Amino acid sequence: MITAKNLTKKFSDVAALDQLNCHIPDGCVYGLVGANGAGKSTFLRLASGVYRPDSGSITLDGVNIFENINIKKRFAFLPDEFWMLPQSSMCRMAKFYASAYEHFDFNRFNTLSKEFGLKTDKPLSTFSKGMRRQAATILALSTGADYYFFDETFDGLDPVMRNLVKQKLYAEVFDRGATVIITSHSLRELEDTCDQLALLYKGGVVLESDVGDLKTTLFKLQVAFAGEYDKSVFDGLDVLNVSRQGSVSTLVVRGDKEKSRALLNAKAPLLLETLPVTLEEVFIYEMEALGYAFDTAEGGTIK
Amino acid sequence: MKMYKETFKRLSPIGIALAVATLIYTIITGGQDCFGEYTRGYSTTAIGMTPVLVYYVFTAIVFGMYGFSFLFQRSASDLFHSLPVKRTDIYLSTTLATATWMGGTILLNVLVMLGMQLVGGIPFVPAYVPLTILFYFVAAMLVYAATAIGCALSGTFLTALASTGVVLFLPRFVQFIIARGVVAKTSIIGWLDLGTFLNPMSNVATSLVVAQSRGVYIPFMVNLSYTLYSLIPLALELCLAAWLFLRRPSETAEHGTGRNIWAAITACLLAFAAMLMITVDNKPLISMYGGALVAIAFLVFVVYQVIASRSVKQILFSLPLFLVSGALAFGISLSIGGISNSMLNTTPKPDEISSVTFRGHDYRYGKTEYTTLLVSKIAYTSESMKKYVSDTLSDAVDRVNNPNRSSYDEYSQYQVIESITLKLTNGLSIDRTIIFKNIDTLNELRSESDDYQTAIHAFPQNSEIQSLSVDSTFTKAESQAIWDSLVSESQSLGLISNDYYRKQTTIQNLNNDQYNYMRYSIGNEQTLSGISTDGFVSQQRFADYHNLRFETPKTVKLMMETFNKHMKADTTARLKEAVKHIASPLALENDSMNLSLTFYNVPWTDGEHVEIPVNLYISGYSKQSDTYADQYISFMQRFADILSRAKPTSDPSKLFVWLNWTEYDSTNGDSSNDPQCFLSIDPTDEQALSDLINEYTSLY
Repeated sequence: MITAKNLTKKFSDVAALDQLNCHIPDGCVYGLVGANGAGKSTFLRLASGVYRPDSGSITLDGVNIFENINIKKRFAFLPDEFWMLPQSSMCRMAKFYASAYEHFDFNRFNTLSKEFGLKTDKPLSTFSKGMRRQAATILALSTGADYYFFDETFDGLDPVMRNLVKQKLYAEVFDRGATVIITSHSLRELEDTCDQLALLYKGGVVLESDVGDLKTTLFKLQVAFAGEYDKSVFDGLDVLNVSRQGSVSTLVVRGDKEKSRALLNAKAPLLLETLPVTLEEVFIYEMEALGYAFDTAEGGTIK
Repeated sequence: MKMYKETFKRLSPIGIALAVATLIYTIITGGQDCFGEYTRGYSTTAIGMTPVLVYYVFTAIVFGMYGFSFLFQRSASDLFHSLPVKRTDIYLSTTLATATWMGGTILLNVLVMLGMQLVGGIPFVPAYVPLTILFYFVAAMLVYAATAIGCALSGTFLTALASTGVVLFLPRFVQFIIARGVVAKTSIIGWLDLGTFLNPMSNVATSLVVAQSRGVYIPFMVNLSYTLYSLIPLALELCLAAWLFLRRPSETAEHGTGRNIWAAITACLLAFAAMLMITVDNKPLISMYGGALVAIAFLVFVVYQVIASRSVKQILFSLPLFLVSGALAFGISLSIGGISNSMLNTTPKPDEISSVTFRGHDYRYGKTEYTTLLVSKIAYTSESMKKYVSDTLSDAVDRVNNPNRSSYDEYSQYQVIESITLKLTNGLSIDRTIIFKNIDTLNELRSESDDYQTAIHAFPQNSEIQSLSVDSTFTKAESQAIWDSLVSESQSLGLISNDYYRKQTTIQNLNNDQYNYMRYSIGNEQTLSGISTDGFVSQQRFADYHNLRFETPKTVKLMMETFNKHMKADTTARLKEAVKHIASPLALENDSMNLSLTFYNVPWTDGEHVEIPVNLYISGYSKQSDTYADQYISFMQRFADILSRAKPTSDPSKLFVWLNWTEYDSTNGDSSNDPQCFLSIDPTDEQALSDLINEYTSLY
C-alpha cells in the first residue's frame, strides 16, 4: 500500500501539496482527480520517486520511495509528456528501458505493439501525439512493474485506443494484481475506470473513497405529494440536496435506498421514482456537503 | 554496466562525429607533416603532435551538456529520475561514457599520428605518446567536470553554460589576474617563476587557453608534473559534481538554477569576474574604462538573473550581492600589491640558500640548447655562488624598488638574463629571472663545479639527435662525418661545446673607429659556417647551432673539402660573366645579382689574421636609383676578376675565400644559385686583394 502522510511539496513560495494524506490500496485502479494546479502531477512524481518531499512522507508498505531502487524497480511512471531519445524508435526506447528495468519483457513489448498496430522500427518523431502516448503506455506495461503511475494518460487517445489502454490496465490489475494510479482533471474519464477515487483540491485530498460505495450510498429520488408539503416531509432521510419544480421534488439522499423509499412510501406519494446518479453528481453533492465551492461547467471539469 | 552501455550509445552521435572530424584533421595535417613536400627532420613539441586535440578537449562541454541534457527538460528529467537507477549510477555512467569517448578519440588520434610518423620516417619522442594521451585526457575531463557541475546546478542549457564557464574559468581567471599583477609589479618574477598555484600553465585545461595568447608557453604545456597536479582539481571537481548531482532537486528542470540563491551566487561571480578587469593595469574606478567595466558587470549580474530566476523581486533582493562582488574584486586588487611585495622582497641571505640552479638563459623562450639542458640540472652549493646570486638578487630587487636608479649606467654588453631556482634551507624554493651583470663572472663561478665542467664539454649523443644539418647540398653521411669530426676534435682539444658558456670578452673589435660596427673574428676565432642540431633529451627538446671555427682545423678542412666537392668547376668564370651582364646597359630593371664573400686569414695591421665578410648586391633598378651603384659594380668587377684566377682549396692556414653568389635573370625568370665553395687566392693577386679589401672596409 502506498501511503502519504502530511506530504508537502513547495515550489518557491507555492505549496503544490500541503500536508496531503492518502492511502492507495494494492491491486486497484486509483484515480486522482482535480483541477489544473491541484497537485495531481506533483503527487505522482512524489509517489514514483521523482521528487523528494519537502516534509511528510510517501511510502510503499512503510518504506520511503525516494531514491529507493528496490521500490522503484516495481514502479513505472508515465508522465503527461513522454520523452524519447533523439531520433529514436520504439525499439530503441525499449532497449533504453531494458537498461534500467531488469525484467523488461520484449515479448510483451512486441505483442502489445502489434495489438496497438504500431511499427517498432519507425522513428518516434513521425508518430502522432496519440501514437506516442500509446508507445509510452506499451513501454511502461512491458516493464512488468507492480505499480503504474499514469499522468493524464488518456489525453490524445481516440475512443478505440482509450478502451484498449483501459483493457490492458484492467488486465494488469486482474491478472497480475498490479496497482494503477491515474490522474485526470475529468471525472467522466475516470468514472468507469477506477476502483478508488481521490479528489485533490489546493494541494490536499478532500475526498477519498471507493467508487462502488460512492455510487451505492448516494442516490436520487423524485417524489411528489398531493397538496402542499414542506421539507419536514423528508425528515428521517439523510438528504444532501433538495430541488423542487412545481409539486415534484428531487432529492439526493445518502443511505439505504430501500429503507428510504419505504419511508417515503409510507407518506403516500403521488410519484416516487429512483433516478440514476453519475459519479460527477456524487462528487458535486459530497463536495457541497463538505462546504467546497464547485462548478460543473465544461462537462464535469472541476474548477 | 547496462546504464553505462546505454549512455555510451546515447552519446555516440556526438562521439562518432567528433572522432571522425578530429581523425580527418589529424590525417590531413599528419599527411602534410609526414608525406608532404617539406617534411620535418625533427619531432614537434608534444602539443604539435596532434594539434586538433587542443580544440577537441573543449568539446567535453558538448559531451557534458548532451549527457546531462535530460536535466534541462522536465519530461526527460521525470523519466530518468523515475527509472530504477541510482543517481550515482546515472552520474557515473555519463562520466565514464564521456571518458570512454573522449579517451578513445584522443588515443586514436595520437596512435594514427604516431603510425604516420613511423611510416613516414619522421622523428618523434616516444615519451610524448603516453604523456600526450594523459595530458589531453586530463584536460578533457577537467572541462567535463566543470560542465557536470554547471549542469548539476542548472535547469536550462543557458544557465548550465554560464555556470560551466564560472567553474572552469573563474578560479583560473582570478589566479591569472593575481599572477599578471605580480609579474608586472615585480619585473624579476616571470610567469613561469610563479608557484604552481599562480602558474597559468599548471591547470592543463585552462593552460590550453592561455597558450593561445602566449605561444611562448606552448613547449611547457604538456608536462607530467602539471598533468599530475591537474588530477587534484579534476578529482575534486568530479566529486563536487557528483555531490551536487545527487542533491539536485528534480524540479530544477526548465527552471534556470532551480534555487534562487544559486542564480544570485552565479550572477555575483560573473559580475565579480567582470569587475576584476578593473585591477588589470590598475584602472581607476572613476574613469571611462572603470565605469564601463562596472556597468558591464552590473548588466551581467541583472541579465543572468533575469534568465535564471525570471523574477524582478529576486534581482532586487540580491542587489547587495553585487556590492559583495565589487568588494571581492577590490580585495583581490589590494591583495595583488601585498603578494607582489611579499614575493619581490624575499631576498634570502647566502646562509639561507641551500643550492642554486640555473634553469637557463633561454628558458623563458621555450627553446633550450643542449648544454643548457645539462647545466640546468646542476645544483650549485658553493658559498661563493650562493653569495654572488644572493647579492645579484638583492641588487635586482633594489632596482625594482628604486625605479629612479639608472639602469643605463649599469648596462654592460656582457650582462645576461638567467632564470634561477633557489632552494632554501627551510625547504622552500623560489624562482626568479634576473640580470647577471657579467656572464664571464657567472661562468667562472659555475666552473668551480665538476658537473658544470662536464656539461659544457658535452655534445649530444647521436641517439639524441633527430636532425643534423650543415648545408642543403650535403648528403646525410657528409653532414654526419663533419659532425663526428667536430665532436671528436673538440673533445680531444677540450673545447667548450656551446658559445654561451665560453669566455665572451675575447670577441674584439679590431677597428678603432667607434662608429664602425663591423665585427671581425681573428685567428682561431674565424668561423666557417656551422652545424645545426635538433633533438630531445628525454622529453626536452634542444636546438643548437655549432659554429665551426679554425680552432678545429681538421673539421674545417673536411668542411672545405665537402663544400668544394659540390661546387661547379666554372663557377668563377660564370661569376665574371654574371657581373659583366649586370654591369652592362643591357641588364633589365628586374635583373639582379648578389655576391657574398668571406675572406679568411686576411693579414691585419697588428699582424693578426682576420675574417672579413663582403656583401654586394646590385639590380637593374638599383643601378638607376642607388648613388653607390657604380661603386658596387666596380667592387664586384674587381673581386670577380681576382676570383677568376682563384683555385679550390681545403687548406685553412692560408688566405682563402668563401664564395656564394646568386643571379636572377628576369628575361627567362631563371635564378641561379651556385653551390658555395672555398677558393685560395693566386699569390700574384694577394696584394691587389688586400688593397681592395682595405678600400672596401674603409668605405663600409
